[in-house]
Formats: sequence, structure tokens, C-alpha cells
Amino acid sequence: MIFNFLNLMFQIQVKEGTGPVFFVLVLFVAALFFFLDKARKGATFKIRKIAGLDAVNEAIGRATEMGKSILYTTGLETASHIATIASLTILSRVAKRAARYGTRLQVPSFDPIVMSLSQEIVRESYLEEGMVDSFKGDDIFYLTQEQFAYTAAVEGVLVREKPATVFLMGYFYAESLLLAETGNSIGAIQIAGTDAVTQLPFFIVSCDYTLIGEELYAASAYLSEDSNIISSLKAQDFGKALLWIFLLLGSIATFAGSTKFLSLLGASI
Amino acid sequence: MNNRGPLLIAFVCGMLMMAESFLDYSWLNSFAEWVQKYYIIIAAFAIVLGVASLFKLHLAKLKRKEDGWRYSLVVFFGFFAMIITGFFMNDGGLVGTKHPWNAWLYNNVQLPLGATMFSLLAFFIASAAYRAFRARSLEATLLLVAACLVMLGQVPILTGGIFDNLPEIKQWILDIPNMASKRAIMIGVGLGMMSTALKIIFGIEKTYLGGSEE
Amino acid sequence: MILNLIAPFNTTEGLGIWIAAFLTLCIFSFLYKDNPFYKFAEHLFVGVSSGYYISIYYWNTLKPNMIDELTKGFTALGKGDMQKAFGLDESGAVMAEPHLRMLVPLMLGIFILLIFISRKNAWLSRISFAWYIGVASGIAIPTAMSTRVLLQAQGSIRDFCSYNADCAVSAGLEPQVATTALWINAFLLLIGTLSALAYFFFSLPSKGALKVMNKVGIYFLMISFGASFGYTVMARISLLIGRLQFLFYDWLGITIS
Repeated sequence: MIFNFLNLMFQIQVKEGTGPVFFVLVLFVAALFFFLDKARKGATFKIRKIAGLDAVNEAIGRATEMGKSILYTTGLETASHIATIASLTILSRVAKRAARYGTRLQVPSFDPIVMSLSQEIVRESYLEEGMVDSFKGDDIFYLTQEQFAYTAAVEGVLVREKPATVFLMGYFYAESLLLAETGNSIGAIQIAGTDAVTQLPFFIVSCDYTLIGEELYAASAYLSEDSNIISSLKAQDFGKALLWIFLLLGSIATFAGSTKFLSLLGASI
Repeated sequence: MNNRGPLLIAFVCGMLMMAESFLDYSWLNSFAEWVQKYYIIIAAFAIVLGVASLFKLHLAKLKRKEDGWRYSLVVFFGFFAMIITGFFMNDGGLVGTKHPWNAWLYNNVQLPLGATMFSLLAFFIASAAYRAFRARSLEATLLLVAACLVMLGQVPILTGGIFDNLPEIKQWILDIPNMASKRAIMIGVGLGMMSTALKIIFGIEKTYLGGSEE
Repeated sequence: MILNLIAPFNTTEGLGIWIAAFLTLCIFSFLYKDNPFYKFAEHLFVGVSSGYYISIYYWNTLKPNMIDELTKGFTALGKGDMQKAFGLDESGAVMAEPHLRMLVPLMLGIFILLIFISRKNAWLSRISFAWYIGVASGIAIPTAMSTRVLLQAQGSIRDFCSYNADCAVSAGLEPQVATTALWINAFLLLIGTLSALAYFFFSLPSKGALKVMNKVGIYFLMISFGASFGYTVMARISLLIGRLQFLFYDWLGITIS
């Protein structure tokens, strides 16, 4: 009905096959605001332990005790990639802790926009901790946008600076194993997180902790300790639960011969 | 500066791009088309910033004669060699194919370096496997067994008896447990991406902007 | 083994092969430990690639999409044709060539450069970043929903339909003959997907049935990671073979027969 109205009044056509996507999106947005509203009214949400994220404080503490630095990389994608944005929000939490403990934080960047954003984020984190004088802009630097030139340069930083803690957060390609193995060879504690499904196995075998897929997106909420942001995890779980039930019922119904669930998902996805 | 203005811009742009995915409307489609063009131009400006940062880093090293300062000269040498042959000697066409010196540098310096870095993976994958494939727990054992079966299934060096079925076993592992996990991870990632993107559009997540918060 | 002529270094091509071989060995030396040869190759790589991308961005992006468009726009403005200057035709409809509409990305680009040029005015860069990330977020949402969520859900259910002739015909799928093994596979696929998905519930405590599902989910995930690991090993080895072929054949002229 809404689409007919749009068509009549504004000559706007709805693109074919987008119905299911729009419907699920509206449901998800509703859930997001529902839980956000609950959070603003004082509700607290318990989140299960994620080993890799619980280890962040320990990892930063280790670098501080050893008098060494932390190396943080936001991956090999641009700032338009959501995984990179998630990584930047995690960077702000890590930078706050690094500022608090007075630990050097190096952020070699693949993309110049990511570098600029990283500089602003880290500067702001240091400012919030009252340590803006300790902020070193030169520690957040751009290298190159060539995949293996960046990898070679970061490997060089790893073996020469020998950071005690390495964060590999974002989207990675084939170089993931090169970076993780080099970090392993210098004895650094490594916490990785990526939604690149093909690179997860390499992080799993080479890093101490790995955030698998969605855990990367949950990380910034988990580390923020802000119930408004944590409420989004509740919305994600709500969406997952609905989908879980849909898959179970849909598979059983389809097994029995029904096409209703398949048609609900739409033909032109 | 407060972030209200930028947050409003992020909201409007985000909503317009989302709307364009669902609606067929001339000015909305034109807007989306311009945005794709704007995007790469912003990236082109940003690279100037990136190179400025690179220069600042290496000039500081040269000035202070820090450890490894001579290698900064190598960076500048490589950079200007590419700039002169690819930027100034280019007659306006696609880079890398026009001036022969630029193509020579690309084919004999940049490509071999990239290919060799890529080939280091063969050594690193062996060292990762050597360290990781110790069956300390059930999970590690499953990882080890699955990897071995798939490797042997791809290059069937063992034959006879059950080993003849290795290619089918490999395919089954890839089609069933591997596919199931990948689907679950992709679904989770999709929901996570949506959640993060919506938080940005609606201004719930503001850290990417830095600056003082309101 | 046949030893052909080693690559000559008195020709451009031969010199190129010698340089490529030297740089290849410099990178391989990293396997032993960090050393001046690797440092040299690494820094050269960074410099050369940065210069390459500047050239690419200028000639392939900035010049055709912005500089040329702005030139055409200002030319039209100079001739007094306001509509054409802003990329509109006689009827006022939007043309494919934006002309002076490219002043908007020029302004956004300059805002980004202010970070380096003027610290006092660097706050303007937030406008560009907000635009950049807002647009990216808006594009990502429907894409993530359709390809990563709904498409995967569709794939999970579709198998059950293919094996049922009536369902397949109704859904427009090609019916497949279902054996017991295929049905078992389909259910295993479902169990694997549901249990691995259950692993990613963050706000539910891992107790009872969920705990069992989490365990099963982790097992499926580990099998998947092992399979992916094993699958890429051959591809990685072939990359090394490629470089060794270059060194032995192209550079040293050694062939094995």
C-alpha cells in the first residue's frame, strides 16, 4: 500500500525483489531502537565472555610491563569497508587503555583516510584520558596502498620495533598469515579479528586470540562498557534468534513439501 | 567543534543510499551515481595526505639521522623514479602501459617484489602448520584431521583401499561441515555489519569522528 | 639438466631480470632474519608503490573525472551557458557529465587536505569523513542483508526443496533425486549451520541445550577452518614454484628435462 502511494504521488517505483530485504531491515531497525530505548531507561545487558576481548587489558598490560609498544593494524581495506570502521571503534578503546598506562601505540595504515581517522581517534582517546601531551602523531602513519608492500613494511616494523602486543583487526587478504606468523616469531601476544572468512583459519592457528566474524563487530560494543552501544548486541541476537527459528521451521516445512518459506525469502536475492 | 553537523551529514547520506537500494527514482539514482564518482575522487585526494605522511616520516628520519636513515633515501629514490616515469612522462593514458620506462620499473621491480612476498606464504604456512597441528584438544584434533584429509584429497599421493576415497571425503568436508560453518559465519557477519552501519547512520556510534562529543 | 644462457645484463630485458632476481633474493633473505638486503627491498617497494598509486590516481581518476569536467564546466560558464556548466541539458535534466557539480567532491577533498595544511581548520575534514562513512554505511546495509543473511538462509532451505519433486517444480528449481545419503547430508548441513549460528549468541548464557549446541558449533567451525587451511596449501606452494621457476629458468637459464 505504501509502495502504491509512493508510485502515485512521486512517480517512485520500488525495485523488484527488494521486499524481503526491506521487511527484515525494518524489523532489525525496530529491534535496535527497542533495545536502545530499554538501555536508556536503565536496563543492563549481560554479555557472555569473549576470550579475545577479555585479553585486551591483559595484552596492553603486558606491553606496559615489558616497556614495549603495541602495534595495531586496521586491515587492508578502505574506510568505506564496515570491518575497517569496526576496527577503528575498537582502536579508540585500545588507545584509551594505552593512554591510561602510558604505552606506546603504533598504527601503520594501509589507507590514507583510515590513517587520518586513526589519528583523530587516537588523539581524542589520549585527550579523554588527560594524556594529550603523550600523544605522538608520528606513530600513526601511512605506508602504501600496495598489498604486499604494506605487508613487507609492517613485517619490518614488527621485527625491528618488536612490539609486545599486536592487534590485527579488520579485513585481510592473503597477507594475514605473513603478518600473524611474523608477530608470532617475535613472541608478541596477538589478538586478531576479521570477517574475512578465508583468512580466519590462519589467524586461528597463528594468533593467541581470534575474534571470529561477528565477534569483530561485537568487540567495540563489548569494550565500550556503554549500555547504549551494548544494546545493539541484543538487537543482533534478536535478529539471529528469529533467523535461527526461521531456518529450522523453514527446513522442516520445505522437507514436507512447502514452498512458503522459500517464497518469503524472495526469488531475486 | 561539535559533531552534530557531521552526524547529520552521515545520517542523510546513509539514508539516501539505503533508499536508493529499494526505490527507483530518477534523482535518487543520479545521486547514487554521482556518489560512486565522488568516492574515488575523495580517495585520490586522500592519497596526497598519505604520501605527505610518508614523506614527513622519512624526512624526519633523515633529519635526525635515526637508525636506518639511509633506507629512507631508498624510499624517495623509488618514489621519484615512479613519479617521473609514470606521472610526468605519461601522455595522459593509462599508467603502467604508456611510457616504457614506467612499464619496465613496474614489471621488474614492483611485480617481482609483490610476487616474492606472496610466495613467502609457502614457508609461513608450513611453519604455522608445524606449530598448530598438535592435537592438544578435541578442537585442535578436528582442525588437524580436516586439514590433512583435504590436503591429501587434493593431491592423492596415497592410493589403495580407503585412500582411493580421499577426493570424495575431501569434497564432502568442503560441501557439508565447511559450508555449514561458512553460512553461519556469513549470517553473523551480515547482522554485525548491519548493526555497525545502522549505529553509524543513527549517530549511536560516534567514535570514528573523533573530536569532542555532544 | 640443461644449462642455457644465463640472462644477459647488457640488454634492458636482461638487466630487468637481474634486478628482479636480486630483489627476489632480498625478500627471501627475510626467511633467515631481518637484514640490510630485506630492508633495502622493503623500502624500495614502499617508495615505488606509493609513486605508482599517485600516478594512477591522478591520470585515471582525478584528471578524467574532475579536472577535465571542471574545465568543461568553467568553459561553458565562460560562454554564459549556466545549465550546461552544471551538467544539465536544455530541458534541465541531469546529464551524465557532471561538469561543475564536481566542485562538491573538490571541496570535500580540500577539507581532507586541511588536516595537513591547517590544524586550525582541520575540523572541516569531519564533514568529508562523515559523508564518506555515511555513504559507505548506507550502501553496506542492504548488501549485507541480501547477500550475507537472506542468500545464506535461502541456500540453507533450498536443498530440502530440490530433493522434493513437487516443491522443486513449484519453486522453479531443478528436481534432484534424493538418496538417503543426500538427505543425511542436508540435515547435517542444517544442524551445522544452526549450531555454528548458536555459537554467536552474545547475550544468552551458555547453559543447557545452548551449551551443547555451542560445543557442536565449535566442532563444525574447527573442521571448516582445518578444511580451508588444507585447501590453500597447494595454492601457496604453487606461488613458490612460480618464483623458483623465474629464478632457475628466466634468470639462471637452468631447465630440467
